[in-house]
Amino acid sequence: MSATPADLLRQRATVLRNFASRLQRLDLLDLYGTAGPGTWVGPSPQACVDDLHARRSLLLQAIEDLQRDARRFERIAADLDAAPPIPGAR
Amino acid sequence: MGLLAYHPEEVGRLHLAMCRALDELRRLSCHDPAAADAMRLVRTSAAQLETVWLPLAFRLLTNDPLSRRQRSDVGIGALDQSLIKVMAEGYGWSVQTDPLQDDTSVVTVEEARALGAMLNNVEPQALAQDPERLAWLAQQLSIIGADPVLSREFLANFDNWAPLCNWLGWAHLLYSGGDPMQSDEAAAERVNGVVDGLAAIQWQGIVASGGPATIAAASDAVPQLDEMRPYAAALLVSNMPLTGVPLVTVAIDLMQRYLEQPMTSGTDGPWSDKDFNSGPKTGDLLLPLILCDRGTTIAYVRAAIVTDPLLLFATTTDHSLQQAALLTAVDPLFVDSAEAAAVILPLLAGFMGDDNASIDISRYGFDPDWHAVLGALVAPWLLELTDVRDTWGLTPEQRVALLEFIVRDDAAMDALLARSQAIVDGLLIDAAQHDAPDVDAVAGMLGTLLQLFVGEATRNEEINLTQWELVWTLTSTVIGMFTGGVASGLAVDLGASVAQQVAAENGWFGAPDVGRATLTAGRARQVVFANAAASVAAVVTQRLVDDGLLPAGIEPPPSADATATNPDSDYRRAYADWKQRNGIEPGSEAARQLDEMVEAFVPAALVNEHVAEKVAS
Repeated sequence: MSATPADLLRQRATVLRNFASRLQRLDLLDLYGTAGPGTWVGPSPQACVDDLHARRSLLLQAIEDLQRDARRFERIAADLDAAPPIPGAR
Repeated sequence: MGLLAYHPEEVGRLHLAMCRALDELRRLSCHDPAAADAMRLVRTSAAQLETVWLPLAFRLLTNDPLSRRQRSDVGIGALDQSLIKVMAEGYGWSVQTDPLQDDTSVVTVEEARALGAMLNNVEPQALAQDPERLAWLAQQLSIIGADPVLSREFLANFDNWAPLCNWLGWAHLLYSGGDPMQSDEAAAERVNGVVDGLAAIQWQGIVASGGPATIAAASDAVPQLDEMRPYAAALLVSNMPLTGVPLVTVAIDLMQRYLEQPMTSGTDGPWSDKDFNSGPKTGDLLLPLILCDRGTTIAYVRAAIVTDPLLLFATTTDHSLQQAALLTAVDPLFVDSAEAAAVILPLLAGFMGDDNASIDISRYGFDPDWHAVLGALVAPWLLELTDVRDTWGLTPEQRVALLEFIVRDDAAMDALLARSQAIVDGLLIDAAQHDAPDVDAVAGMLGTLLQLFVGEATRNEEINLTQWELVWTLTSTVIGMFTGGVASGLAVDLGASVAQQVAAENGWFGAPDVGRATLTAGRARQVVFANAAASVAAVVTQRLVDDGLLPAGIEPPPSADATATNPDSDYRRAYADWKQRNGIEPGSEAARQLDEMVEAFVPAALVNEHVAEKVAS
């Protein structure tokens, strides 16, 4: 039996949630703390910590986007399940 | 090429963490189209780590740090390397060169702390004369001063206020005219930029400690005040947003410190305003800030009069600043009669050399500019110095004597006359505050003034035409006020258009054309009063016609003849003839009202002339 469109959307939602979860556990998110002024100071160290800060913010935003897309896919799948069958469709 | 400082073991840990993070990023994968943006971010982050940050950490771990000599060669002692120097010499960190230059538009907490610490050890005299370092420092301090956290960190590490500010003050003074050969406005502004930054940081500290309301003494606003030169402290304060009582408290304290400040002994400096023969003084820095706010200005003058009048005379090079403050402190728009008297009378008594005066002008060094100021100060309060008011607790003779003292001086009289509008303003306010002044009072005041103006050396001499113009302007504006119906309660109450017409007919928009005739002082008074009486008669006649007490179409009352030998007596004769010709019966209501107004000027003036003559003699 082949997967329905609703099933496919739920699978995609799961993939996105898993990916977001892996991103949330990345060491990169906390690297800025190790790269701070307790380790080094100067123009390049400052640029490094600024860059890591910026990447952290972008990653957190990407995680939110992934979770939002997953929720959207699940909502559409639920709507498809609840819709009456199209006459003549198998 | 800049410098960076690092803790080798921490960099080792960072390197490992970067390696782990890079491995994680490389292992990540998601092929769902909705994850494309996130995957792009993962890939660029991995590339950045791999190609930029890991190599940087690796280089630090594998290259030898700079030796002490090498550090010195690459300028670790420079002010803009404060953080590197503090970390290297204070914490034993290693130092290597950095391919990047510092972004001067950003100051980190660590940089703020380090700059504070470095400024404790800077050589302040050299710094105060180094344009490049001053510009850089001003920028950094400005950034720190705009941020409460950075300011707090700076303040926690900086304790070199007095030495640094004293030398900055010295340089500011030097470039601002202290040494005419070195006057340089841009250089002074560069120095002030640094002080401005320090002031902003200190202000953040004041705000954090409860705000300006907690300032009860100058030492609450100025750190290390006892070691700081008053000029340097004033320069610092002049860059703070202080106002009101706190500013007055601080300013009075600093100016007193200036007065008590000894000359700098020895040749080491830092020299201050007492050590220079020219350039601004402590007060020159504070007065512009005080003058920004009217209430502050008034409070300052009152405090100075009570505390030590010397503050008003000996703390500024530019006396116009103190004089502007005094003018504000006696402005009838902002202070009442008693408050003005508290400022004016001690000053007048002091300048007159009164033995009982609270101000001994002889202590301060006489400055002729002040006589003109006295005239300007008194202008709006003339009624208080004439026969009309006794609110200042003076006898008529004392009042006239004070006025005479003012007008005896050409500059004072010019100032008085130039402020004729202030005289009118003062009369308007007086009329609003008291029962409206009657016409006798104003005529009396004019009589006294005119007598004083012309009663000195100029009597029977040809009057200076400029002086004559000024006398006429004063007289016409004062009388015009009444005939314009401005003062409520007067018998005369006509619209402005009628008053304007009357004024035009009587030449009030310019001095009467006296041609080349020789005007003696006595005759000048006659012309003034004849014209005043004629104008009043015209205005009253118009009102009586409107009220039905005189017939419409009645012949207009006569005008004064400025070219007559005796304009006042000629006018009185013409006025009497006019009444008789037009059937205005003696004792009638119309005659009573006309006589009351017209006669008020001439007889009253004559009476007051005699008072003035007694004093003058």
